[in-house]
Amino acid sequence: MTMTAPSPVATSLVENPLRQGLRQEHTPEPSVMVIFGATGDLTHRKLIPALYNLTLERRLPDNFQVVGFARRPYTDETFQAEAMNSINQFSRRKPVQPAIWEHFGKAIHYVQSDFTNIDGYNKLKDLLDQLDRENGTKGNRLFYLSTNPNDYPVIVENLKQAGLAQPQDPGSTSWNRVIIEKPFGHDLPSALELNGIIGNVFRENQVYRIDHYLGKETVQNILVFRFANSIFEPLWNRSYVDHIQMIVSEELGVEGRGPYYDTSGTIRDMVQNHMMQLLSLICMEPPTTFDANSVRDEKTKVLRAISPLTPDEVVERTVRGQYGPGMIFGKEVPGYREEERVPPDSITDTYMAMKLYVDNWRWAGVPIYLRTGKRLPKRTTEVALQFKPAPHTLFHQPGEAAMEPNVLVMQIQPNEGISLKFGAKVPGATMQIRPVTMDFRFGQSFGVAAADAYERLILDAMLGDSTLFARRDEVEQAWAIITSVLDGWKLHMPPKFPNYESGSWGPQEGDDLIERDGRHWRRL
Amino acid sequence: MSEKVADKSNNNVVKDGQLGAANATAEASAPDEFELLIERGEARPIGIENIEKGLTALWQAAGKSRPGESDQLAVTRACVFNLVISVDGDQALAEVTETIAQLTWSYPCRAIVLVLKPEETQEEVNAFISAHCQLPSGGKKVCCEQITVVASGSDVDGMWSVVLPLLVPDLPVILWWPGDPVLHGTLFEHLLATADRLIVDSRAFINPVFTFSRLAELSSSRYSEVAVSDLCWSRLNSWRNLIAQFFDQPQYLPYLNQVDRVEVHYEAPDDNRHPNFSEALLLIGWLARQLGWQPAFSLQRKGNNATLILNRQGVPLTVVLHGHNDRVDELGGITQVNLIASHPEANPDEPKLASFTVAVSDDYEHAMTFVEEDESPLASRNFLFPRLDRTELLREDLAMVGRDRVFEASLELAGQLNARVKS
Repeated sequence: MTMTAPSPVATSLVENPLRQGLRQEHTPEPSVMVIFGATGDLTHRKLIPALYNLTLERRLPDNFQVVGFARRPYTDETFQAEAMNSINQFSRRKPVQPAIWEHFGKAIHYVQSDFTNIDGYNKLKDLLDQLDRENGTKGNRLFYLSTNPNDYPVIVENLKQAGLAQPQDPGSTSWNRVIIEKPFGHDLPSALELNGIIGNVFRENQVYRIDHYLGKETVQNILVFRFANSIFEPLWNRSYVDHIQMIVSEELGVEGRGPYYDTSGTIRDMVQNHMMQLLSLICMEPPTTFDANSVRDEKTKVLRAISPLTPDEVVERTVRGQYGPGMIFGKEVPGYREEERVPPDSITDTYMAMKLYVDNWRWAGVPIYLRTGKRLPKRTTEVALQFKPAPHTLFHQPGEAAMEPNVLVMQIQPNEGISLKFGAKVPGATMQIRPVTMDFRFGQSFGVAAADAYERLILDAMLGDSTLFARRDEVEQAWAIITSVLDGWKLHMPPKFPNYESGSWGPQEGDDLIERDGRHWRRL
Repeated sequence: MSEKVADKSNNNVVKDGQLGAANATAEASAPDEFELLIERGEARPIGIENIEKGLTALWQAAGKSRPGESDQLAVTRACVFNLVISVDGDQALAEVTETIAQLTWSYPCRAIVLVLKPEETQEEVNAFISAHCQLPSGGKKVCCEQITVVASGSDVDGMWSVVLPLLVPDLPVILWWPGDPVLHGTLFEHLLATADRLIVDSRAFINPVFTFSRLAELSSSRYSEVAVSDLCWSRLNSWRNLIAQFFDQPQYLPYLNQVDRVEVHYEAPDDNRHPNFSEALLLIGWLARQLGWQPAFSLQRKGNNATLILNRQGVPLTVVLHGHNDRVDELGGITQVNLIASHPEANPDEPKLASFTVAVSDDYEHAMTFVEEDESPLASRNFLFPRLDRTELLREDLAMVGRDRVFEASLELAGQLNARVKS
């Protein structure tokens, strides 16, 4: 074999030559992750199990440390016990394995403080300095804001005040980064303000706005499907695509999150983040490379090409709804206004349908219909491209229904996969055409359990890879679109809520929105 | 070979392309066949010339809705490659059949299993078809097919001619030779000529010194268009990751160019058999390839222990293989690796030594890594280190699309080291 061996390492100490050919990414540098809101639900259900799973698979560096920061009067020991409980309940690798816990448990610490109290941050600094000395974590810190969004500004300000965070150039020897959970603001002005506050403390390359949808394998596969296969991209434009439908439906109600949900509604909870991210991935141009900024540049361009809606357009192109009582899977469920801690006269939207246009060369004139809601019949997230009909209906028989269009569906959840519907001849003497579906299912073709989205995203943040995180301009652009809708809604009385029954596919007006254009929602 | 092709056309067999009892219609008997072949996974005898017809009939029957069942139970036939397997007896057939069934979850394929029994006096060829189905949650039943050809007699080498027409067109051909492969001869050469990939497991070699050298030769010689893989390489994936992880940390990276000694502990037999160094040599071959080490002197072997001297840019580097006998079911498997290195910037009169160790725990389910600098512990970590069974090893191997150049170069170097074992 004539292969050139890699140069001896003395010539380059930057890269680890043993990494060549290994499918696993390199291990992040030793660091401390500080979780603000450490006693909250997200930490309990997602963050601690994700860190444990990463430890179990040895994806985290030796001496990695976790510090919880919250108001509850816990000690290290009570927080560790809580963490063990989280793993035993929610880890995909439960129960806790004693040999792993021996190291992982010891690396968990707790600081009790109010988020507004600077003394708590000074205490945190002392602890972090101590951990650096004891574990060689060298000042590498990942701050995870898993709190009420109202607390973000004060936390960030106090981190700065206590000398725990400062703007850093990419070449710095140590790093500090911040992961921020959605929502990033509640409208455009608040998003601008929040980004301004964060920008005073961290440079953009230190900020990781997390949207766990982007950590899902199928969402990442949208890019692979589009840009690694040559047969689809030529069809991916206004010449062939009639329209796009995106749906994110849930059978669940607000599940005890009434107070949060009532101030947000589905437009902020689902559309501004998850659906705008999906839309930008579906509609973006090919990036020049797969690095973080090239991908995010293209995504942002899509959002820029969607003009904010005028008040008249809001009336024409959006529908909001709120669920009333009904039946889900054969069980009676209450209406939104009867949910725990929801005002009985709430006008918060739990359903939204919207028609948008991406005004660029590729998509001009192609309507994009979004539909999302709670207490719909089932949980599903799909994006469907419906293609234009064949130019000449050669096989259409009088009296028969028109041939069904080709549809390419990307299913994000629950059954991740891709399917293509096309017409085929029914065997026999007559020319009968019936639609058939060609299915690809991740579970069937690869049979591999995908890692949890949080595991992937936390690891990416530690490695400094922000490709799957939202950038400031992306978030602001999405808010510009959503805020135009919110402003339009303010000018008009809300519909008479509740306007759809739990277990239905939403209000009649949602169907009218698409049927006015001579189209129909897909049957799901 | 005077081929006596068995077409056991009795009740419930495939006959003339139709499934069903010989005197019943296919329509009437299809549900029985469905149950036997799809649900119970039984193998059905069939004449060799009828295999394709039989499979077509099988899938037609499987695709029909059955009374009282929803469409969700419908069957999807899937195939991502041809998997040609050669085994030497009924026990091996049972084992590979089980592996194929499990592999369906991730790699539905057409499996063609040749069971060769040259030691039997009667020359006979029998064929069977069977299906392997999995039901993913919420999805359709995904099935793939297995064709088993049992050949006995002195002329089994001609069985390649049975395989060729059964390959699904336009799909890759994977030739998997479990056990101790015969990497030469008419049958092997014909099968290899159609293959895109050859998979063996060097841990199972009965004469590892000879067969491993042959494998290295195959990988680098005239068959270079065929990707060669060794399941030992899949076993080494975790080891390679763990060793690489030490040097992801910038403070340890300088040691990598100053490795003076490598110790590999492996499971060796406690009798007089020659120890199987293949896995250990493959690991050393990988380190040598990635770090620019060259084989230098002959290997000195004493029982299950051996010492090799390599050349690290003009400096001798010692590799010690320690054989021990704890797990007879893991013969050849690595249990511990130590890399000992001196820091390049340390004072030559007071060298600063570091040792990087990965060791499997006694339960063989966990492992520990630890780093020592001048005999002071710096870091240690426990983690899960599951042993992969044969199906998982195959999955790992098949996850590599195309050729694994790092493996091939490591195998070449391991082959050179192995040649020194011979001398």
